[in-house]
Amino acid sequence: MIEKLMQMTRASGCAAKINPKDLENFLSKIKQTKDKRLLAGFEHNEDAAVYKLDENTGIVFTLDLITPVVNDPYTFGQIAATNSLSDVFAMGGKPLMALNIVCFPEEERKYHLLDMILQGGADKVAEAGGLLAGGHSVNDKEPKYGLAVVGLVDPKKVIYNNTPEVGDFLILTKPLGVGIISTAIKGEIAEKRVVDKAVFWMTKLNKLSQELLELNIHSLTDVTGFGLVGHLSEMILLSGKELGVEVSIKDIPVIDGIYNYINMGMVSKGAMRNQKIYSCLVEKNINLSFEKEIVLFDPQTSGGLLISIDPQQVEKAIKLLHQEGFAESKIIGEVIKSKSKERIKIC
Amino acid sequence: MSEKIDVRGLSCPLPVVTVRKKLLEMKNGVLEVLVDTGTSRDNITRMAVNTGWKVEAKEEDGEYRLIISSKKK
Repeated sequence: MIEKLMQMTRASGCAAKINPKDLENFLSKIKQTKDKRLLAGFEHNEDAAVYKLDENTGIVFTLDLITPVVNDPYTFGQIAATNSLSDVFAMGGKPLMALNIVCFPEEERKYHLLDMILQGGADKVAEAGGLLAGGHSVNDKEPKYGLAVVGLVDPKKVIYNNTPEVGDFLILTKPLGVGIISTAIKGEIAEKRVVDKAVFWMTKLNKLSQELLELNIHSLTDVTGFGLVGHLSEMILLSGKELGVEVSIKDIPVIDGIYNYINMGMVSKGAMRNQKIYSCLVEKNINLSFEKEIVLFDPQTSGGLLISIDPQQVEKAIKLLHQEGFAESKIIGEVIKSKSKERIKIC
Repeated sequence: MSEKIDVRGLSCPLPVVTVRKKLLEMKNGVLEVLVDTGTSRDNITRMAVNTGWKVEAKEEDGEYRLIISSKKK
């Protein structure tokens, strides 16, 4: 019997996130601790928390947990771990140590699947240069897996998600579309070549070389559950400045083959929800077909980095990214001054 | 006579997959579908229109009734 991990779950990957508006509401009720050692916390939906130990040492701390996005358990383990580790990289940090967090249906006794999931995760932690040091499990109807990760960062070199500057160029390091592809896997219409491409990107660590991190990167985040537009909106709206972005649709990298899946109805609830929430921020200066537009809202699992960088250094950054295996990295747009309500201009 | 199918309560993308299978079996005629989310309504409509069917959607108490019919009589 073929065991399909995705038949054991409802929503997949980062599309299973709680509605961002509801989340904001719950989180606003939690008393936030103000402490000058806490360099990143609740306040601007950062990728990870950062705690300053001393002038030269900061701790990056994050937790992420997802439901299956592919059927193969080892691959799912790799994807979930890559996705969790990404939050450390997105702060400019290096992972030190990770703990597993896993939910699995005990009743079904398919522990060989769990073995493979954990093995996939362990291999990715090792590849990222971290140590796997333990974990916690819960007997649950639907499988879920992820990591809590602790990393190190120089407090002076933390790269925040809300500090872009006017004139910056925006780079996206991985193509979009993995949310649609995992829906198509669940709908059993995904073709192998498309799935292979999605798996390749979802298992690629968002680890950048020191040389890249030392370029003049003003702001950095990873594109995950809220889709490209959702994460762009956090970058500019939470900056506290009058900023907008101008994005060129033809430059946005997208995995080949997804438009057909969209036309066959493989759009997740998460993508529709993101569109509903964030489309009020978007000004369309060109005619966009539904399938081109919805990709911009598609929740990404283990998505690429969104880099806001000094235009003087953008060429060097692209060259280095290509050398480091982010072969589809593209300049997708520019940070502009804007007071408009529709601050994300699509051209 | 039209056929009926109820995909309420199914998680994404099972509603559209179930309707797609049914339409492939039917080849022509009329299929009435009950769905409970806007996402499923949109996905089913998109799939049906893109595979050569006509769709009419009615909202009823927060749920939807889709009448999918073949273009050729």
